[in-house]
Amino acid sequence: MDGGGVCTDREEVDDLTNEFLIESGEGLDCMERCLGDLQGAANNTACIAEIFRAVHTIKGSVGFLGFSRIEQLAHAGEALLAELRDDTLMVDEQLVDLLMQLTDRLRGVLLLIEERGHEGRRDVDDDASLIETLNRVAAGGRMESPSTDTVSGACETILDGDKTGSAVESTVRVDVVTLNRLMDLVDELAQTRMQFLQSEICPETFALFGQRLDCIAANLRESVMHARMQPVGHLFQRFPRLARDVAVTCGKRVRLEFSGGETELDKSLLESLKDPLAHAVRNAIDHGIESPQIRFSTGKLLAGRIELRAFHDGGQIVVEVKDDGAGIDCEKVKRCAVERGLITADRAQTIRDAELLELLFEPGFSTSDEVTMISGRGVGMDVVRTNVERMGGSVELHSVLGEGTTVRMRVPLTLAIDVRCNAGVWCGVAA
Amino acid sequence: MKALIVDDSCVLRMHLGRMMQAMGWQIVEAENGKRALEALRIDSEFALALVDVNMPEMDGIECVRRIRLELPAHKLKVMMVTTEADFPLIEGVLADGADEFLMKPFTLENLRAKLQLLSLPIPSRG
Repeated sequence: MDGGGVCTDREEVDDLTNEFLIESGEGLDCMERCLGDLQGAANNTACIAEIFRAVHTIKGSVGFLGFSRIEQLAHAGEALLAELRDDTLMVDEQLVDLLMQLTDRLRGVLLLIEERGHEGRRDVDDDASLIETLNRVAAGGRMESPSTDTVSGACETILDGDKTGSAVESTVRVDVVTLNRLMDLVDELAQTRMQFLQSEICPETFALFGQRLDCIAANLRESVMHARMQPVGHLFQRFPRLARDVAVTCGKRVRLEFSGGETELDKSLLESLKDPLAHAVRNAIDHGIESPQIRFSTGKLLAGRIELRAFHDGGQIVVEVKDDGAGIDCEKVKRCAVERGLITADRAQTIRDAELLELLFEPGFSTSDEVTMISGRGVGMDVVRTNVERMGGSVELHSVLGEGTTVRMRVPLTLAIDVRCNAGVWCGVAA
Repeated sequence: MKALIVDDSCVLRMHLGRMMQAMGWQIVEAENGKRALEALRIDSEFALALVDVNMPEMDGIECVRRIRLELPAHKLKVMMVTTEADFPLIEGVLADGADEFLMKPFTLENLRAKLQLLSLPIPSRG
């Protein structure tokens, strides 16, 4: 057989490309996560090695598929990362920015390949300038500081990217134990069918088989629901990047912390939580966390802390976004509410703080003095509440002036309308 | 003939695996050096290992050293599969026990030529 004989089969090429898209997407996820970690510890060898490997792997496999844009970008990125790995270059914020731009660009091209089957030609000029910057920095040169445009562009890229159901997002990883259980149940179903066909039809057997089928159906539903459960940590992973971009745009410093990432939730609920959570994180940075100057003068740590927490509470999952920022100024909320005619001046005298905070969920309510690029104005907590309520959950707001704000979202564990399964099974999964 | 493909990239394993299978080889895959050693320990039938350099857990360099150290009786040929970024490392690993190297991206012809250099038969399918 001749040299061109391998992989000429269209289907084979396609599943290689598909595998490449999934593998590269995962590589870029890993890279973003590591870039987030890099900021905390200035010279983290393990992080750099992982980032290097991600780009290296993309470059290694793209050569076979002939995607030249990706190859050139990955090549330039790899050269820069090699300098980092060999300690001839130090990590700083600008460098992290540059590498984030690289992941964005690579992700963009991957998306084009997935949608259209080719890399597109539109931004090739931009590629050239990005590659040039990568090369210059790798050679020890400085870069111009990234413009705010690039940063906000990056924010949009992530969010737009989130909306498209990519090959990676439409995939669920299921553990073999769950699959085996499903298999057993299907076997049981087939056996029951056989027995039914061989048995004599009378009301008693009918009732008996009805019962057995009910039982199998219930177990099947339970197992499928189980297979759909995903750790909330998958969702949390996306936020370091978002938080970082928002913080840069607002001129703030933020440190994100996570807990309870292993808590599991139905995949589609997890997807629906993405936008409300992103909104809450953006709000926390834009309106909650103070500027470094103000934080310094009030004796707080310069970098604001935002905690993303998930945990079980009474058969529901609670996901919290908690910041240690300025908190909500109830007097200001009162003034705004009166100005907007939401409450009367008399009512403002007597209203309790908890009731007052409820007003923040009114459509279009914003106490911010300025319209910012990140949170804008008018789309606010009402959207968060609407989204979460649509999935059968609820949202609460807690705030202490000067100490911070917590947005608490409660959502059901699964989408199951009729949850008759043993509660112990679910807890076992999520614990 | 049986070959072990050691690479953390599934794309590369698929691609290289298809090329080898097209030439009539039987393929086993391992996703890092550690897994490769496990596979080699339980099966001495392998004639060739195609080993990537940069892998998590255990990289290709370490893997080759361990193969030669722990399995000296194994009549295994080892071909490093590398990109130009790995290349500076290759000279060292050739001294440490690898027999050949193959640079990514490669064609079927490149692969065939390297197999010939190692005097490995290139059985044709069917």
